[in-house]
Amino acid sequence: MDLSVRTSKGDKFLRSFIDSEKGTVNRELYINQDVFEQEMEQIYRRCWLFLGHESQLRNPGDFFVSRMGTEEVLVVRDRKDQKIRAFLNSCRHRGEKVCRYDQGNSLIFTCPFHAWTYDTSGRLVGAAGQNSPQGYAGDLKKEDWGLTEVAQFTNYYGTLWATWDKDAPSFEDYLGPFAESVRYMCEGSDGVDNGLEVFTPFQKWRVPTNWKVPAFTSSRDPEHGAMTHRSVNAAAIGPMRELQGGDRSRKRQLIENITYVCGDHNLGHGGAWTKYLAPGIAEYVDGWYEDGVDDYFREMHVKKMEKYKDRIVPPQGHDAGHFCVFPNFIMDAWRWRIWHPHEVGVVERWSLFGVDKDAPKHVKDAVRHYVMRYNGPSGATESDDMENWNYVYPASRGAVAREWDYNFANGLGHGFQEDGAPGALVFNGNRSEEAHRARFSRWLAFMEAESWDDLYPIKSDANHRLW
Amino acid sequence: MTDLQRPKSEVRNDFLLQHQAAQFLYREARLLDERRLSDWLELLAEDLHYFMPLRRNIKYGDWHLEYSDPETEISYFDEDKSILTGRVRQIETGVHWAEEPVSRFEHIISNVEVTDQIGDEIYVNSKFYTYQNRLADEVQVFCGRRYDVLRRDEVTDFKIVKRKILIAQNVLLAKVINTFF
Amino acid sequence: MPEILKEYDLRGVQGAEIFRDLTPGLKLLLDDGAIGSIVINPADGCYIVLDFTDSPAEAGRSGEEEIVYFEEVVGVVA
Ligand code: FES
Ligand SMILES: [Fe+2]
Repeated sequence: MDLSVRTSKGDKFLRSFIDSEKGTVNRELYINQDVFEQEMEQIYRRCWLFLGHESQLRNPGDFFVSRMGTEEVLVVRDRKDQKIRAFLNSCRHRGEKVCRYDQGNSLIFTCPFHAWTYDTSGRLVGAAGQNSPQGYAGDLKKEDWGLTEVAQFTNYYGTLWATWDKDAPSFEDYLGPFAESVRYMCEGSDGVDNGLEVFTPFQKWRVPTNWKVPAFTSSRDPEHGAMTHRSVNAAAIGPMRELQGGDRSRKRQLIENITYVCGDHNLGHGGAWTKYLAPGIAEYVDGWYEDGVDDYFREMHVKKMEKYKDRIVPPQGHDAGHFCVFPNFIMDAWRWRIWHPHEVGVVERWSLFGVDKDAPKHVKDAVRHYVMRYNGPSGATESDDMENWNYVYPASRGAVAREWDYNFANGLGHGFQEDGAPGALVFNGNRSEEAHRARFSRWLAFMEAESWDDLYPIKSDANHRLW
Repeated sequence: MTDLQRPKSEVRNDFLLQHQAAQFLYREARLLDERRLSDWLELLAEDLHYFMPLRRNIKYGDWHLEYSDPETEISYFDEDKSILTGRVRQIETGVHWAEEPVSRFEHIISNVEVTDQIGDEIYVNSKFYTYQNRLADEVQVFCGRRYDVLRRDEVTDFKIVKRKILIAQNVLLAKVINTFF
Repeated sequence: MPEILKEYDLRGVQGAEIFRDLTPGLKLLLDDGAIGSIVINPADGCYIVLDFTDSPAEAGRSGEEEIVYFEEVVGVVA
């Protein structure tokens, strides 16, 4: 379906904003209210979205509040069957926000408006006036008025995901060639699956820009690093706390590899992609300033080397990560970044950090202090990203500015597909913008699709590649 | 926190001490606003713990859940003088874009209360209202409380040994924190 | 009519707090005459989980655990 949007110059087809020959995207797509509202419908109601981590819900009745796009969801481990479920955080009676705490343990969730109350499986179990002969007089059918549950939910090696669309493919099919990388990033440092827990609470903060600025193009954006982060070495905030910063690339260079930027134009995921040419994991390289931390990781690493001695590690192995799971989740090894749209010009960022579940305290402390000084609104590195992502928005909004296109042409025409590889996984130079272009191929496919029937992989022969 | 209790009378009635503490905090704020960050670092003790927790939405009475725990949890700041020195070095490069061009900060400090004195250390509470104005029209406001431990010092009157900063926000409404409180 | 214990003034100014702090085992009289004993108090000040094993059958609640809204609770009984 050709989708058109309202602009200040009349209705225009969405497709007309992307020039696949030139490699450009018109700024209207970032500043237009109508586009934003359609994104919430076409993308956020259909995609698998990241909610959190199972380590936040250890006990029956544990809950936390997360977001799916502009809306809040309540994620809770049931007291009876111990299953984790996710619900829209909006009362079925008249829409009040039911759960108003960030996290906790609860028996029931009681709406503060008219006392409709829900149990930890989302069932309505009480309401003011439920038994009153003058009121509902027993007519309230509680079984019909439970909290609105997500259509599909999955716990993928400890990470929790959901979609509002019952017709969405399985999460693993949604990830496609990136599934193995997501699994890998949830390993403990000893290589055991689902070996992490996340630190809480999450840093949460608002950035006045369109959500696509960071979510679509921060992973991977190789050419921003040297310039945006020009100052960061002076802060000496890496794990080694050396003035010149740490160098985690040393590790992966020990196994022969070729690095690409890769984008899957059918699925929209993409970012850094390291193709390892030999099996195995290299020897541990010391990298921590604090006493005893390297000792711990070195010991764990031996176990991981054993696991992978005859296996090629996934393309995000050896900390070579940094890719986006479409639409708004970025995985950079155990640093996970999620971008929740609020309004066309406001996005809220949450940061999660994984650490080995069973690591001793001094190791957890070292990792925790490192992520605090590196990441987030008070992080020496990320603060410079926020500044640039922010000012893109006001500088692109004006009547003149919005007429111009953004340039996504870095590497255009140089991408290649591997023979016989499924889908539209396109490799390109490790400083190219292939992953950004893949995001827009998928974006347009979602925006124009009537349903999942038009979308890869449900439509298995689809080719969404635009450029 | 003992802030509802009155400080012991030798502290409460020590006008000179109250005055010295307040003057020190005002001077500190001025150094930040005058962008004399290296001078500001001189006011920090070598064994400083600088801590600014995250704040949860909690139920009345669940006070222990409100602030992130410096022992196990994530905060905005939970660090020592060497990291703060790195942050200052970063601003001084002139290419730290989050603070380039430099912002106009005004750190308003008030409600200064000396609550205790143990040896050469004093316990001081205060409030901050930090106004930031940047580029053409960007405005951020950071408002909150601080719980400090200050140690007597020959040269600078005091050095800051501990600082706990409680900002009155849940989701941080500013995109970055590029000043000190 | 069972005797309502005066020390639990659920309708007074402290009603919400007293209700919030009711401990398991106490018996509550409801406005339809049923009596249930507290199984769990979620401590939200609004709801309470009662067991009606000993309640008169005509109240229609016998033998069931049910979540009860504070407005339906008349008082604590011996
Ligand atoms: S809106 Fe929730 S009970 Fe009425
Ligand atoms: Fe960056």
